[in-house]
Amino acid sequence: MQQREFITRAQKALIKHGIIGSRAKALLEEWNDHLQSEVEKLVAGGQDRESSYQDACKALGEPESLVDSAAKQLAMESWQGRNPVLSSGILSVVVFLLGILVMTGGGFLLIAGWKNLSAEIMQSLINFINTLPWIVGLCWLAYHARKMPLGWKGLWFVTAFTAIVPGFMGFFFEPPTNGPGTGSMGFFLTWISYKPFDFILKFIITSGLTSFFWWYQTRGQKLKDGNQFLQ
Amino acid sequence: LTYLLAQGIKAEMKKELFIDGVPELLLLRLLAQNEMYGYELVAKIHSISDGAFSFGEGCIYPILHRLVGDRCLSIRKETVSGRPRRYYRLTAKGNKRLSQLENSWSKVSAGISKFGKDSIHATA
Repeated sequence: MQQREFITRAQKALIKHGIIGSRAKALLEEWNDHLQSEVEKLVAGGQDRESSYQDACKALGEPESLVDSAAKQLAMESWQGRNPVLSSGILSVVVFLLGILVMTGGGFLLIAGWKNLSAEIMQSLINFINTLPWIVGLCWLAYHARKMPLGWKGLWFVTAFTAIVPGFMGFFFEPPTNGPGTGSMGFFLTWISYKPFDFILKFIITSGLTSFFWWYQTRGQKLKDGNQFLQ
Repeated sequence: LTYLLAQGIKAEMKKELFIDGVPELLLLRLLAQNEMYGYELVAKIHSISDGAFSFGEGCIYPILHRLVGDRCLSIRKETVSGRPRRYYRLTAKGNKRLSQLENSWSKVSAGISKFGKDSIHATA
């Protein structure tokens, strides 16, 4: 195995494990330096360059198993990685509850200021409050895309959660126009989405964002041309 | 284990000391002496321990990067023979972390030494 093959295979394995961006770059730089330093040592000892590369690659191990152990080590470094089920499941529920909390907060702000708002502005604000749990979900998704604590599986799980769950939540507000105690405010959950168009739009945007991110990070062209580690 | 717990070793420390803490401790100890790069560290660990500690390259580099993220190590990049190389150096925070690990490790080591052949026979 030669340096090019080693680095390319390692790069592919890193992407497969969801180790991307600066973390992947740092690891590849280290492994490349490791490989080259080993080759230099062997060449200095009198071995020819060709067989030195082969021996150095052999000593470093198969790129896939090297990446496997790096992925395990990286997972051990974070609480989420050590508790994947708990963190992806429970934390998503926490995010969902946070979405409800934000929605309720928005509702209270509406109660405080409804007298100064026109009907159109109030409707826009109700729509915005309806969107808040989804926005919270998107922030949670962005965190996952940035840190990738659970790899691609975790990212797609959070995507599905963000694309589906907030779409089943609704917020309603009736101002107390006929005197105190006549208005109503609250949120509801429905099995059948109360606004199908809203639901579909959120679903498309969320899965579209993740699909684009996934395509951008795993696109084949990058693997062919983007290898700046080869000399 | 009861003895170790009586010495005040908390649950998270047990994991840290016996599994994850060892490579971290060795890395910090080596970097306390000198600024080094990844390959140099791996080779040093292997040679000083006479091959007893042979942590995979897949394991060492993520630990180094985490220590950089935790600001226990600082990093300096240099281009050597046309390739980038990262030199690691211990920071004040890393020094503190090293003292903590050494302190905990000496407790574990003292605890284990109590289980020497003679002391077990004497207790029996």
